[in-house]
Amino acid sequence: MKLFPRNKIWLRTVLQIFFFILIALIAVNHVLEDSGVKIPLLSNASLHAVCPFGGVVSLYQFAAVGTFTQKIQQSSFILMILVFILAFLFGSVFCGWVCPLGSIQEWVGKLGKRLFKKRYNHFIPWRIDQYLRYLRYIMLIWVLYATAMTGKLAFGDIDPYYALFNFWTGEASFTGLAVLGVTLLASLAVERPWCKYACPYGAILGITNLFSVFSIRRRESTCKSCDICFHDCPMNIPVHAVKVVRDHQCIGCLECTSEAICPIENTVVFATKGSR
Amino acid sequence: MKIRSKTLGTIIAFVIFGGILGASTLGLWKTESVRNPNSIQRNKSIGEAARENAVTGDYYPADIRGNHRFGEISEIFNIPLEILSHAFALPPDVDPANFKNQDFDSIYPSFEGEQEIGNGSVKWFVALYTGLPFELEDEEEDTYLLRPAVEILKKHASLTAEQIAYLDAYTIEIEFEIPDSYPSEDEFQSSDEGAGDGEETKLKQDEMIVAGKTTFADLLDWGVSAEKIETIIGGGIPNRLILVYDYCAENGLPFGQIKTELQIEVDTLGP
Repeated sequence: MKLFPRNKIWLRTVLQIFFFILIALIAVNHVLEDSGVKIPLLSNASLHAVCPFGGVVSLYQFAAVGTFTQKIQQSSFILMILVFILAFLFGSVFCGWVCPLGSIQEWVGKLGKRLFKKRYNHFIPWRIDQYLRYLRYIMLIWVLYATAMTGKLAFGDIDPYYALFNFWTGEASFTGLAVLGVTLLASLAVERPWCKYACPYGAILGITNLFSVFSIRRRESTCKSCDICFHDCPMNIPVHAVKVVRDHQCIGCLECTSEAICPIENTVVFATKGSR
Repeated sequence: MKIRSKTLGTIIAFVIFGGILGASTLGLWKTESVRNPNSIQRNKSIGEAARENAVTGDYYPADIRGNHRFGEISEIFNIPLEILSHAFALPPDVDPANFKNQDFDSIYPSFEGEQEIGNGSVKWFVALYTGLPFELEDEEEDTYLLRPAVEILKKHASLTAEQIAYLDAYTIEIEFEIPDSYPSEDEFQSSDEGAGDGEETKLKQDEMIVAGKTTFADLLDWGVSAEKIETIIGGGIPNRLILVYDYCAENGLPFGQIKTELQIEVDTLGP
C-alpha cells in the first residue's frame, strides 16, 4: 500500500503536516513555559509571534509611530516579509502549503468527500458563490481599520487559528472557538470555507496571484477539456476555461496540474510566462 | 520556466527557514520583547530606563535602583502606591511617593541575623507582583520581604509553589506598628472574590487605569473626549497609537501630573 495516493502532490501533504505539528508544539511549549518545562530545541514563542498576519496588521502602526501592535513581535514582521517574497514569486502558496488552519480544513474535508461524494464542495451555486468570495476583503478592511484605530489585535477574539492551537489552554475566546467550530463543521460540505469566504490574510495574499511570477498555465493545444482540473480544484477555479489562472482564490496547491490530476502530460503546469 | 512540486516545496521550506536563520544571525528574529536588563546602565534613572523601554512597553524590575522613589516605581510598574507603602510598612510620617529604596535603614529597627530589607527586596516584590521576568542575582540571594508584602503577593500574584516556599522561608515577621491608613483586608479580598457583574466591573475599572502603556486610543475608547485630552496635554493629539508616556517624554511634560489629570477624567466616566 502506498503512503500517498497516485497523482498526489505528496510533498505538499508532508509540509502541511510538518507545519501543523510544528505550530502545535510551539503552542504547547509556550504554555509549558509557565511551569518551567520546555520541549528542547523548539521555540516557546507565542502564537502571535509566529503568525505572519500579525506583521500585516501592524504595518500602519509601525509606519505611523514606529511600534508594533499589542502582542505582535518583530518575528511576525520577518515572517510577513518572507511570505510576501513567496507570494510575489508563486502567489498565495502559503495558504496551500503552510497554513495549519487551511490544512485542518482540508483534512476535515476528506471526511466530507466521503459523506457527500460528488456533491461535496459544490453545494453553493456559483452565481452566488463568486460574490461571496469577496467577503474576505470586507473582513480584511475591517481588521486593518480596527487594528489601526485601536492599536490592539482587533482580529484576536475571532481568530480561529489562535483558537485552534489554544482551545485547551483557556486563552481562546468563546467567539474564536465558535468561529473555529463553524469553520470545521462547514469544512464537511465546502472545501476550505474560512479560506474562501473569511480569511483576511488569504485575501491579501490572493491579490499577488494577479501578478505573481509563476502561475498555473494551461496549454490549449493539448488540453482535452475534460474539466477534471476544475472538479478537483479545492477553490472551484475553472482552470479548464482559462489559459492562465490569475484567480485571487488560487492557493497554489498544484492539484490541478499534469503532475497531479490532469491526465495529459505537460498541459497544466506551474510556470512563468512564455515557458514551453 | 516550469517548476515542479518538489522544487516548489523545497523553495517554500528554504525561504521560510532560511529567512528565519538569516534573521536570527542578524539579530532580527525576536519572538518576545524581553530585553537584557544588564543593558541599562546602573546610573540611569528609572525614568530613563522606562523611556528606553516605552517602545516595547516593557519595564523591568532589574532596572530598579536604590535612588528610585516609590512614586516612580508605582507609576512605571502600575502598582498602587498604597500597596507599596503597605508591603514595606512605611510609617505614617513618611511620604511614600518620595521614599527612596536606599532609605529602609532609616525607618526599620534592626532585624535578626542576616535579615534585611533593601533594594533587592523591592525588585523581588515588583517582579512577583507584576509577573515581569527577574532573576535574583548572587548578591540578592536570601532576599527577604516583610509579612505584609508576602500576604499581598499571595493574594494578588500568580505564584509558583517554589516561589511561595521561598517567600515563606524568607519572611520577616514585623513587630512594629502598621499604620491605619493601609488598605484593609476587605479591600484586598474584594479583588479576589466571586464572579459575575461585580468582577466584570472590577476588571473594567482595572483596565481603565492610565499607566505607562496607555495610548491616546485607549483614552478615547474609554470615553474621554479628544478636547479634554488635548486640554490636559496642552496640545493636539499627534497620533492615537502613541503612548501618553512617550508624548510626555518627547514634549518635556510631567507624566505623573498628566496621568493624574487624565485618570480623574477617566474616573468621572464611571464603570
